[in-house]
Amino acid sequence: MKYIPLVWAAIMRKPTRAVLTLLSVMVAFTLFGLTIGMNATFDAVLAAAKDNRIYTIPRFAGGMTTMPLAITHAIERIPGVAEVGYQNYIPGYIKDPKNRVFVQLYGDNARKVFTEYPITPAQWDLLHNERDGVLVSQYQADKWHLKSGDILTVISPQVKKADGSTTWTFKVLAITGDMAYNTNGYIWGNFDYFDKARPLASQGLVMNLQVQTSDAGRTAEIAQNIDNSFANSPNSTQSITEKAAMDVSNSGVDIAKVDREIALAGMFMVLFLTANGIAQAVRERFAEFATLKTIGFSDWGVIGLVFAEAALPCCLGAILGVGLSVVLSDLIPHVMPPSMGTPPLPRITAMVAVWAGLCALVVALASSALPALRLKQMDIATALSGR
Amino acid sequence: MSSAVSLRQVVKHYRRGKESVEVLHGLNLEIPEGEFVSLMGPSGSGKTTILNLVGGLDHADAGEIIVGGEHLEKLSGGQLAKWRSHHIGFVFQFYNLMPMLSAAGNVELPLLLTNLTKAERQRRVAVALEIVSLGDRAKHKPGEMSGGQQQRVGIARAIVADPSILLCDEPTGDLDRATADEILGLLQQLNRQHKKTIVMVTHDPKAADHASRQLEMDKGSLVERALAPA
Amino acid sequence: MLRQIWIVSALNFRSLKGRFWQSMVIVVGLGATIGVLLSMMSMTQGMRQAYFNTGDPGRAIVVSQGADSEGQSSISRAAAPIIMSAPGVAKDKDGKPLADRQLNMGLPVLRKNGTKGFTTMRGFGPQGVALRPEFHLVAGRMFQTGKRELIVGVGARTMFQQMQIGDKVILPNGQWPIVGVYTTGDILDGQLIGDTETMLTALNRTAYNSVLVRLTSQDALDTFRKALTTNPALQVTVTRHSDWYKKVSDQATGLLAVLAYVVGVVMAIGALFGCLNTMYAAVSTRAREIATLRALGYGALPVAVSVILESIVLAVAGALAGAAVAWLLNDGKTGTWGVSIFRLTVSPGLVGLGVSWAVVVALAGGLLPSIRAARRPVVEALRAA
Repeated sequence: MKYIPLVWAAIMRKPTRAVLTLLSVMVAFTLFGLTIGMNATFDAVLAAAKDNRIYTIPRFAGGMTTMPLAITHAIERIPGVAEVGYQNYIPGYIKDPKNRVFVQLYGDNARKVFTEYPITPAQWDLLHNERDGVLVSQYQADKWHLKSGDILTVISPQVKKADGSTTWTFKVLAITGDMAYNTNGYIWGNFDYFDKARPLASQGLVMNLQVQTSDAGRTAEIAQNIDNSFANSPNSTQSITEKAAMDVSNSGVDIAKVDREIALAGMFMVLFLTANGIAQAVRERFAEFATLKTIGFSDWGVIGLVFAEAALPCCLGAILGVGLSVVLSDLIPHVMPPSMGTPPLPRITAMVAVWAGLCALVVALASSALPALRLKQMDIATALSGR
Repeated sequence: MSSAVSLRQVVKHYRRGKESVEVLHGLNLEIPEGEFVSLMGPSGSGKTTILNLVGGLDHADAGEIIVGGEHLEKLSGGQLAKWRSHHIGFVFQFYNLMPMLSAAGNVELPLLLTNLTKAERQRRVAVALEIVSLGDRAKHKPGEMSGGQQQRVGIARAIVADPSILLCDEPTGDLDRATADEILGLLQQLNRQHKKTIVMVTHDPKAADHASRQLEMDKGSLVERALAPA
Repeated sequence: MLRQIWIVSALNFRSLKGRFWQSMVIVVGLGATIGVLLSMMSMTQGMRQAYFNTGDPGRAIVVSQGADSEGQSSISRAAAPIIMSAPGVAKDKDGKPLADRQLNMGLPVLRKNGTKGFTTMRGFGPQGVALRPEFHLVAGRMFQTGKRELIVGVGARTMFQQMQIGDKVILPNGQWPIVGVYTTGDILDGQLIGDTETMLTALNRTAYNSVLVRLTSQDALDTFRKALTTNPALQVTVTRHSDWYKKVSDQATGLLAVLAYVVGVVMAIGALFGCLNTMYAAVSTRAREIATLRALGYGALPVAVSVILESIVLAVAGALAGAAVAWLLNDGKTGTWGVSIFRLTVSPGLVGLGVSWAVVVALAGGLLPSIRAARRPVVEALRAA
């Protein structure tokens, strides 16, 4: 608009002040982007969670507690249960104890349970036919430089074979796609290949179950039913729906709330800074505003100029800050120590950008409100004679 | 000749602390079109008040203020602003320029309120600066100019929207003699050649002499100034 | 020189009132930054404190090789006595080794806010209490050996539903009543304890999770460890109890501390720009005052110092305010993370951390403006309006 040069010139009266204000606003919005972006990811994870899946583990889990495989048949009989997937796992390392891997061994019905995974029927077939094979997701394949046909050797002191050895070998059958929210990838193998190699006393045991319900609306109820069925048996269970499991507000610390509070603290800082800056600018240039009124600028025209003067750094800072948060969240995987894997990352969605824009406008409005009032009530004559 | 400015029975109070001081008590004033009028008088006599009333910056407590045929007492704040942008140009003692804008930028300010295109605005700015003989200083900032040059910019700004009336409040108060004369000559030129009606408030008798009619505030009324023998 | 600094600074602070709102920008900026930092760190601090209290350097914990946690470890019935009678283990007044066979397992619980959570259920053997001088019963009575009874820690009682004396905890093959409440002042406050042997039977388990011993002296660790690791029948790892919990603590708090610092640093940078802004404005406002002082003969250094001092005082005031808010909102509250319960703590150490950050920001934010104030030619400053 034609007034922009005027607003720009007003802001750049004190270039140092303008730049420093912009930088401060930018930093606050970078924090905003990272925290609210994190919440956007949490929301997306929750939305992507299947509403018809339940995870069941032994009720009194002590790290390596198991359930007998037969439990799957009992659960299948519960009304509303469509499929019961089962799993054991090998927590181990490749060559060096710090190279931790996690091989999950599923039953054959895994393909019916994990339908949303990017594994083609051909790949499932491969796994079914080559019992000692594993499907390795792209992330894990990249991490350990694996390709189809390679041999994967995992050492696990906690999971021994019948002959006492702690070394497990698998053949890499295919490199499969990653799931958006399973940020550390996966390595899946066959349960019975694993089970048969275990000492007799450790056979036929599973670590956890993935129960698929046929009625998504009753999933929570069915989870409770599962637990109730085994409540007094030696294999008591605890079941949680996937939706509940993926909801961050359910854990001890509501991280989403903490994120919002941090973002708010940042906005408060910005509000104070901007409000102060505008109040000072209007104070210093009162006579100039009075002159504009003599030229014929209306009250609202002058107020509009002040608002624009507040809004420009706020909006520009918001754009730059959120942009920077995009760059930073891309950097995070590269600076995390390899042992920690990749945590869920902030995603700057359109919603995040909209919230940032709204905050910027609210800050600009709040900052210019009182000075605008002063300008509206200004007695031009006094303002000019005050010179 | 019709009146450019008519004040009829205008009353104005000011509040000074708890007291209310009446500055204008039923003032009457007629200024025909194309006249260059000077107003003199002691401080606080109400000269600047008259200027503010004529320019629509202030409201009278009673009476009529008719400028260019418009009854100002009937206009709202927003209407006054709009009216002002088309009909009035102000010139101030301390120039009141925006320090962060160039001369051209300052002169362009009143035109921002119009619907003119950028090209048209720039053309008129150039014309205004030419009239005040500052064409070559268009890009300079006020901080880079002398007092006289700054006042010229102020005058250019006052005329760029082609108002019919110029209101000048002590336009030479901050200038030395020589420069003051230049400015006053410029004002005369604007009056004679460009037919601007000018109302000038001043302390300086020599400045007042440049006007075609001289008035003095005396206890709230305007009287013709007693002229010294030529 | 010092006198000059004092006078100039005093003058500066007198004129501060005129720059009130501007100065508040620094106070609010640092307040928000340190408030957030300390709030986040109160959790880390609480956890560290709880874990620190749990690990005693005079005790050692024995777990199976490769186990990262007590829950993952498995010590057979046969191995336990060997471990408990090894050299280096202290003995009580009856000559019995001060060593205990422990169980450690996860217990699902319902938090007071209705969400599902977990805590740890421990099994104590006969020497369990003797090993732990920090253990005190605060209500009810101790569980009886051989009986299916539990005692609950004060933290667990605060955080979870149905943890009062008389409530029953559902375990396999029966319900176990809570008969007492205990406190240890460490991570065990968020847990429940019962009799190891009774739990083993009831839960159909055949092995213990770990063995905890009191060493004859802190130096006896090597003897003890050597005896166990050179024994071919055992495959265990021996760790000083304090080291064990240091590792657990670092793992648990590592990420949290990093996050707190990252957020803190980002906000501090934002506050820094605000500080620079304010100090430049302050110097500008004081231009005449400073120029006059210098014309009178005051040196450039006192002027510069007065600026930095102003910056520091404002920043520290903000940090203290932020620390106070963090303390009010967090200190003493019970928090959970994973299976641990602890008290959020805004310790004096944390407040000191906050203040030192404020000083750093103030120095960075005051340095350039102070140089400008000192360097500006006096004549020019006197002429400026």
